[in-house]
Amino acid sequence: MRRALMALMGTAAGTVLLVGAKAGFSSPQVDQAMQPQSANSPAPGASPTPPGASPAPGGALPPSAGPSAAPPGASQPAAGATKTAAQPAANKTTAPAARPTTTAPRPPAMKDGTFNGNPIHIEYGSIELSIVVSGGKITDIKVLDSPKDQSRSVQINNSALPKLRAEALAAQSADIDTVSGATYTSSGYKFSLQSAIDRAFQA
Amino acid sequence: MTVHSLVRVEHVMGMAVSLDLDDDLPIDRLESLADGVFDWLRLVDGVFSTYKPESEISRLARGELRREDCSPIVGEVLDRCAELWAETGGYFDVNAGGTLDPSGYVKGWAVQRACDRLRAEGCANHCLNAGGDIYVRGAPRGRPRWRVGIRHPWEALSVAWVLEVSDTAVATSGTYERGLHVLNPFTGAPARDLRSVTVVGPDLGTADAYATAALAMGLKGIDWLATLPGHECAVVTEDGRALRSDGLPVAPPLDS
Repeated sequence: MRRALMALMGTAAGTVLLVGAKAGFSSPQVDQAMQPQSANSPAPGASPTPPGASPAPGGALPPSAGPSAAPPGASQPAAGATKTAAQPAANKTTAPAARPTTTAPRPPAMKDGTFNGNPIHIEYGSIELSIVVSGGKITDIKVLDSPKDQSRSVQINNSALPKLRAEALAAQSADIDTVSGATYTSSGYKFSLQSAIDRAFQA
Repeated sequence: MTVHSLVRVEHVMGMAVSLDLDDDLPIDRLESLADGVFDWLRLVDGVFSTYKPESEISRLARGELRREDCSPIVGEVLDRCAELWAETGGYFDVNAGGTLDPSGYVKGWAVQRACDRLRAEGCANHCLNAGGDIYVRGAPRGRPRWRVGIRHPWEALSVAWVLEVSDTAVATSGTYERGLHVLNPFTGAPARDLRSVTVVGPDLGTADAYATAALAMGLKGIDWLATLPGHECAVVTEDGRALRSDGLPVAPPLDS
């Protein structure tokens, strides 16, 4: 029985995540606008993912999670996935519930009652499912609100409020006094903008 | 009447450090202030360098020195690193690489200290840039504020943003110069999702640690940065997306 329950949970979790992914597809394609015009030469060899891979994640891992109140430009890669995964599922608890009861062979003897599953760990915390058994059949599957990870989920919900603004990656050569960048190696320094400016100052 | 200012570049701590003193002080006074800055940075390097086997931090890491026998600045730095470990949810971790290495905080802290001392010595307008991490105070002559570029992470001779700032720290961590050198302390894997993270705030050591922590977090770092009170940020992801906080002090276009 324990086994059967876990198998069911697996299916339910799978459904949940699928719903999440679908929600992501329908979100506005903000990302396209953000592709850097200048970055068609993004460091050959430096990125391990093939160049063709970058448009795909835009859809597969929902970057901006659809209808949430966050500003459209905000990228919320992982958090978005997590939240859409949990929320649509909660609205649709009956849909996944229907399938197991009709198609799966009836488990030997399920006791009536409500049973909580083990938490399923995903990006920002965990979700927990509970099933309601009545008359030996599963009559409902509920997604509980990450009960074991309160502080973490609160933190994430807060962080959903202020978002970073997405904009086009510019490549400009402006009139500046100094440059902030990743720490230069000694050899890289020779070619860095910082040294050019330093020399200009000393001229 | 001659107007003085001084720019000096030296290699300290394995990187280029440039100092710009923009106060109209006698030239020998400016020279001695600059000497003080670079002497201090060399002293810090002698104490904290993980490349020097005889440094206090190396001996402490090997267990040859007890913490209470180290210079007071070692305790001060390690205490702050412990706070930053907590503030960053464990992502800024001086032990991430397996041995004690507070370099990710030391550089910014040392620069901040140098600039605070310059102010105490009557120098109100200066810029100290240590390998791309910067503190600016006051303004250069002829401008209301310092104009600080944030390097474009693919084009070495371009900047992606220009900031106008005074009395502000600007720290950038990235993978584009030294490769995948920042590790996620929870997985041990090198951080690769963010190509450049810039944090702007009142203190350079803190800003630098936050930038490094966000880089280590990967994509999660984007949301985390947005929650930092009193700090602004700019991020470029490995797949070329550019993001910034609303309050980032971006410079208005110059009149031409």
